[in-house]
Amino acid sequence: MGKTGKRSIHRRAFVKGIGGVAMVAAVAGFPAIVRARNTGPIRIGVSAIMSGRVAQMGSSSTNGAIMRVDAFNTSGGLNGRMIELIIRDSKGRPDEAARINRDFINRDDCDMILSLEASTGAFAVQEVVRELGTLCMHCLSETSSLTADPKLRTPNAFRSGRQGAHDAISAGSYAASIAKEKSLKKWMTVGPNYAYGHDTTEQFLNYLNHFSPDIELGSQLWPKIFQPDYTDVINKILQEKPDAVFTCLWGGDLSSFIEQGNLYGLFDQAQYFCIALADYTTMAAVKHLPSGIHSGNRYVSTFPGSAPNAAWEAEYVRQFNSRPTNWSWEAALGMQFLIEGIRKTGSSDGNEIAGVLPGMIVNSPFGVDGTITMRAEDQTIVEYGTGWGVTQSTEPFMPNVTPTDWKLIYELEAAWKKEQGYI
Amino acid sequence: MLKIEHLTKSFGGVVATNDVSLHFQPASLSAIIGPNGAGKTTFFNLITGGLRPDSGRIIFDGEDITGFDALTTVRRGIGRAFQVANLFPEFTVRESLTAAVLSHRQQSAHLLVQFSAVEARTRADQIMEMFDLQERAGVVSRNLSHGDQKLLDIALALALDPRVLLLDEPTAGMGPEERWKMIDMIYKLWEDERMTLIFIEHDMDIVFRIAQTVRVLCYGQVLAEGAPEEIRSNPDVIKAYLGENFEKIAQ
Amino acid sequence: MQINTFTRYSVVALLVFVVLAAIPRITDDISILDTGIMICANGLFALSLNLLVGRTGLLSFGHGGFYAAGAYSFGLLMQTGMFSIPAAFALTIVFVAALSALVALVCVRLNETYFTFITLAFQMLFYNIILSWTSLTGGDQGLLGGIPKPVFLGIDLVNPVHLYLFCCGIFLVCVVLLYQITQSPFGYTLRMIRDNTERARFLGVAVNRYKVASFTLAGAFAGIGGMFMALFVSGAYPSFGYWTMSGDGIFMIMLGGMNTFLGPLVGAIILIVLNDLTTIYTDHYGLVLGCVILVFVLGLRRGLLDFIVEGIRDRRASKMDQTIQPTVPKEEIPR
Repeated sequence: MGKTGKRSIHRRAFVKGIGGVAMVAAVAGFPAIVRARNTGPIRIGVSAIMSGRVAQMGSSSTNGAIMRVDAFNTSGGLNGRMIELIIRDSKGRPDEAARINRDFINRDDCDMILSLEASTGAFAVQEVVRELGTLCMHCLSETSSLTADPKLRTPNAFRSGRQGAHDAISAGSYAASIAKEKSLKKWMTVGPNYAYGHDTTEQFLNYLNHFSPDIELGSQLWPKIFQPDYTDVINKILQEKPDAVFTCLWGGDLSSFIEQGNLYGLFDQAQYFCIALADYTTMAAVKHLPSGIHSGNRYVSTFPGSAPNAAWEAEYVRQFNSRPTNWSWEAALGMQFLIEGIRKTGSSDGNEIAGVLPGMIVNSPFGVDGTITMRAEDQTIVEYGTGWGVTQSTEPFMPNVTPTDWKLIYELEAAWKKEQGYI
Repeated sequence: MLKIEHLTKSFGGVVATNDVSLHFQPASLSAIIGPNGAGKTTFFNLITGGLRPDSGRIIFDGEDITGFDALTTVRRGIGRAFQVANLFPEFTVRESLTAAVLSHRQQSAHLLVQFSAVEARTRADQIMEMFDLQERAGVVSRNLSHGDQKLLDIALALALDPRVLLLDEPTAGMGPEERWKMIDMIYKLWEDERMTLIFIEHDMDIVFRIAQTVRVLCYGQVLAEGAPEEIRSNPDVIKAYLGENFEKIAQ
Repeated sequence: MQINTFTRYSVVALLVFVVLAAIPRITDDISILDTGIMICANGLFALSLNLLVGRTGLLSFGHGGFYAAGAYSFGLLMQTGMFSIPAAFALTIVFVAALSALVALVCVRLNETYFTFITLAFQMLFYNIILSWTSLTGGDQGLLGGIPKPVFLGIDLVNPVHLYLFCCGIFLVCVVLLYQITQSPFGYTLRMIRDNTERARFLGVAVNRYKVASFTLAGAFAGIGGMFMALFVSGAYPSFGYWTMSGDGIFMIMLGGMNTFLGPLVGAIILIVLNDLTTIYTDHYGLVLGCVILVFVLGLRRGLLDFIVEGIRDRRASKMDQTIQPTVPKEEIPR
């Protein structure tokens, strides 16, 4: 696969450069060579989940970052200084993520961190960079509190990904409008049985009620994460005959659920709202994708429906011979912010870059109006393309997405933050 | 000293011990004999708390110890050795005995001293000498010869300074020479320490040579009891047990 | 004489500490110190587990639960802001010891296989409590917001060198204590239980009480390992209490050897260095680990340190046989 080849170029360069020395230093305890910070390559440590069940998270996100870095290096870097990515597998373990990132900073002398960790890993990285003060960009963690909670926030860490709170508002408002239109009264929910599943479902219901107070809630089902068989869930839905079903299942779990539900004609009998279906790798994994399923956009090249977005997808496919995911754009955007920061300050100094990132606006194919802002007050992105659409069974799977109005998101987000005691 | 009253124990349908009543005098040396499957070992297990009887009582030193577990029985002063040497395979002879002495002195839980330097070693060395094991002091138990393993097994029981010592076939599996050595040692032990000693034995010559009294068990019941000479001439015993042997020997 | 032996251990430990303390003076590579802290945490975890597995003959599969209990309880105490580090440290040891005693009281009555199962069950219980008691533990996101590390006695644990020295110091104290435990009458009593539980009982050993004591001590030391880890990552995560953590502990014991006191520590070092190196050079950690297991299982057939120590012992024994026929072992003192 193309992506492996690409990545190994960076790795090989790293190994050739200092790998041997690092190994000797690690084993024999010699001091590592301390390099001056304003010359030589700019090093960025990337910790990602490269193995196990969610290895795709690591591969598709690192690809996104690599594309950006290649473009930067090809254009001459920062006055000839190239970016070098050091990618390591945290195996999804928080203690391992903490160790790897400390190593990036202490052993490998990385100038900054690109964190491609899921939630627990991201929080572990957050504590490392809080303590060591290194600039960090979280790309994939969607847990709102990471940046929303002032107790968890730190001035040197930013987020370039979606947020649970934004998604919930977007989902709730969209679902409520469809509910009114089609008079969907009776609802059920299906969510994976861990914190993400419960939180997301609860927040969704909260906003659904806010926009459409007259709905009626039936059973809430909580299959285990990575459950292979959804027959009991499907039977329960068939029994209860709801008007609509909300699910925040994702990835392989969601594809299994849809595939098994297809056998019972499940998706003709009610309106389904999947928060995480519209990602090519998930949609393409289902043999016969039912049409008419509502989903939030994870990543589709039709939204935002701009030429740059289509071009970005085409370039990704050309380089890596696979479709990009939601994680790919989040990582690409995170890398872009770091690069813009490097260009703007003309330096690889994390502190200086952390100074220019708040409030920075970058041109991006993923922005709802072609730009994305790093909001200064909580160091997380806004104005990225978020919305809902309806699936069709053939490419491009989701031709139209209704964008969610950011004004609405801001308003409800502020209310939510107040409720949580964050502001 | 040790009084057994109407002790009964059955396993499934088989009555292993059937209404056994026996009385052991203080400082006596008695043998329990009987054919295979006569319930001798079960009898020992009932006394030492390895097993709980179905009915009957065990009175030790005026106290009813029926149903006490192994630990409590041992603490009351009833020690036992086993038919198959029951040792700590990775312990040397000296370590095994030291550990046993420490246990007897309630010093097993000490944390701040070195096992290799405890005072209990002196006593362990004495016991080793009594059993002529001093040359084997540093040998781990699993590497000892069969005879030495049996000796160590008894020595461990003795380390507890028991008032009653139960030996289950002390000479089992030994050659003739080793056997007599073992028997002499047991006799000397009894003479020196004067505890109540009860042993199970197959070999009639041995039994008749040292035992003061002999009790014969057969199918879980007491068939006869008395001095060796009486037993030797008891017709029931000859029929049930000795008979076979005598026939064999005659052949 | 006995005090002298104890002093001897302490002097050795002090010398080791001096050597370890010299490392930050000859290098400014913090990552070596980080590796040192990881070794302290995992090494103590493995050594304490071996008190059960190797010394008492109890195969506990729930040891990670106490590691997690140490990390969480220390983290939570520090987050209240009401305790100094030494106070939280001491309270955590008491708490984890009490918790392990409680678990032990239930577990030790069961026979070997069920013992292993029920320890695993307790671990899953702890794990699920951590996951579901979100308001206290943060659920599957872990204990968030960092662990404050106020300066005490001039020690600032935010400074990686201080943290390294702190962990090394306490680690060595724990190693000396654990070694003393194995060398004491208590330690030999545990070995009696391991070798022959029934006979130990017939020699007047209150077997269950010793098992509970051993389990409690092992749990408390594992809790200290957990505290090192909590300090290191400045947080606590459910994965500390997942069954894979207990599995790693058993794995370290297998790699390093369970019959030699320091075997599990050697195993922890092997596993950590292996993990560090493989993550730098490859994503195929599992593959490398699998190969190493194969080498140990098929090649050495025991842990590394056991292999070396027992190898030397065997060679010495065969040499002795060739040279002289000793009639009386050397250590024998004529009376």
